[in-house]
Amino acid sequence: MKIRILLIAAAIFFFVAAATANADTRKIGDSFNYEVSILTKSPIPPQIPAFLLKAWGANANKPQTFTFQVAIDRVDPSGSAHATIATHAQSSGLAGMPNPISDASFEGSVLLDGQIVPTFDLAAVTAASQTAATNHGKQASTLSPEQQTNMAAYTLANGLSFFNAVALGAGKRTVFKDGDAWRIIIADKGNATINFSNTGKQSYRGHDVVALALTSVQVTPQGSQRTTGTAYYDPQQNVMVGLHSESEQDMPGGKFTRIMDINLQQ
Amino acid sequence: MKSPISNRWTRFRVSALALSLSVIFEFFWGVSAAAPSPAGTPAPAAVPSSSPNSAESPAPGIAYDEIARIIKSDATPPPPGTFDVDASVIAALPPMSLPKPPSAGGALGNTLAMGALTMIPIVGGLIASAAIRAHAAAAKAAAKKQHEEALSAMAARQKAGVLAGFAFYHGWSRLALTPEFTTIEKPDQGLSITLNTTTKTYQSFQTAANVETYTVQSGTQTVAQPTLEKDPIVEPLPPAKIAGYSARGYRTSGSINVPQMTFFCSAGLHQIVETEYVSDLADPQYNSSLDPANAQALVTACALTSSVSHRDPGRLVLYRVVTVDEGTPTAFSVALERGNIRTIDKQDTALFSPPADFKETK
Repeated sequence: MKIRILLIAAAIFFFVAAATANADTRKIGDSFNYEVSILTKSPIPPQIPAFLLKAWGANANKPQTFTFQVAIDRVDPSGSAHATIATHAQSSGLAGMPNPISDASFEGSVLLDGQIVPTFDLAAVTAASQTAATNHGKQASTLSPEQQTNMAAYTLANGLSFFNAVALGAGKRTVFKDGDAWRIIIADKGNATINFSNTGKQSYRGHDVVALALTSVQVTPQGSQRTTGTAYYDPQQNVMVGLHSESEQDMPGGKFTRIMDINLQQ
Repeated sequence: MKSPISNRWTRFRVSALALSLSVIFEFFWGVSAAAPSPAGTPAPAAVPSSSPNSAESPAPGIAYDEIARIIKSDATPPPPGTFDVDASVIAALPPMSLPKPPSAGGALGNTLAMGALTMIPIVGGLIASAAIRAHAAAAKAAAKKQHEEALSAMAARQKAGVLAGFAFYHGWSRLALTPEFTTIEKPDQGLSITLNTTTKTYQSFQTAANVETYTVQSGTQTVAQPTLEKDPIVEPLPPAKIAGYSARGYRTSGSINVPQMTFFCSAGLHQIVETEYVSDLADPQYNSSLDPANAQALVTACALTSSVSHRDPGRLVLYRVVTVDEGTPTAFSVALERGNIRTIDKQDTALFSPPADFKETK
């Protein structure tokens, strides 16, 4: 009987401690600064116009980089947080290439599992894209400041798609044992599958993290996409500290490789 | 939320989407080639037309071919039971040959290249918009005859539709979409394979098998979905025999409100008429936890998302035509036909492996 009471008490303590830990995960004033690097490798399209070929060659091995800062200004009882997100494109010197994202500030959320979700108006993005398509891209340079901000939030959301999917998958585990493997199927992303394998604990950028080996497969009408990578996830603070991913897309136009690094700056 | 699933790819809902969208794909990319029965793989035994329906005597596996197409207002959707004829039309089409663009770049070849550019995240679209403008200018100078021939061939393919082959066996799945793209999934082995029958090469991708699996929602924002204006009218149709199987027919009509413009439909009210014939065969792609949203009649008309039955979810649709705004200049229909349905068993497992003469590439 005493043992049962002790067990119940221990369980209550555990859950209270866990709840307290979750509640303390995010705090007003917390700030996360991430650096993003994207390197895209693709075959040279046949009959590419000469002016593009030059730019293509010049930029072949140069990544595009930008940073974004996430500043938490409100924490919900659920543990999720409201944040202001600011993006800043870094000059990479890529010839003839516009910045991957514009400098902007917009609202967003930091979820309990570490996902960073920019807020944007999808209908406005769709409308702007349709207008741009109708005008053969001429509209892109005439976006209003509001549209540019909305587009930046949308672009960041897209760029963080895999990052957030990994955070979502990592957040499914409450205990991380070396060698554990699991998988998520993302129903609203065409059943995209991400496989996780915990390769062990380590220190990464000042955080005690678990290193998660990742593989992902997605088959789409345009071909298949396969991704391998490593995520560095801080399970105490539920923060994605780093993500390195290499994606290969096989499409009728050829094979495209994208190498992406997203790292929390110390 | 936590739901172990052992055969993720047998659900393969995406493949239905693949077929539908590949029609869209053709509109923009201008290439398609049907490959329902790639060379180098043994053909499964055909099921006689008198075969009993599998709901009563479950078969170990099933294979079928499928035609998906979009029919514009100036053409008539196919009647039920014409799969064989329609498949032979597609099979008789000559290979799609792209016109050789002028050196400055242009014509259809560049459309492909520029289309591929748009697939590169973030930067691709930006490069492509400039490239597409350049392409559009150069295309004007392309040889007119060559251009017209290519467009004519493309139009013929669009009219005929996309033919693809599906096979499902004990949790394994196979989709043959084009000669360059066949995908095989063996979740129990954690194995994913893509075949290219043109180059006789394949790629395999190994993942852990049978690990704990969570089905999740990313919560990614999506466009607001259409809604029914009022309850649709459903009229039973006389039973029919399609592809050798008994099928129940339904005609469902009504109107939907599309809140935001989609690729196919403008925002606003649209009249929808849907004719569906569904068999007693189990739909191997149906997933009871993921597909209920796809099983709604009419509201999915502008999305082209799934081949799941709208009348008997979980049963295999043999024929469906959904017509939007019939009788108007903007009318279009989406047709789905299935045929060459056969059971497959142990002797057909070679379908789910690369042929012996294929080379693996990394």
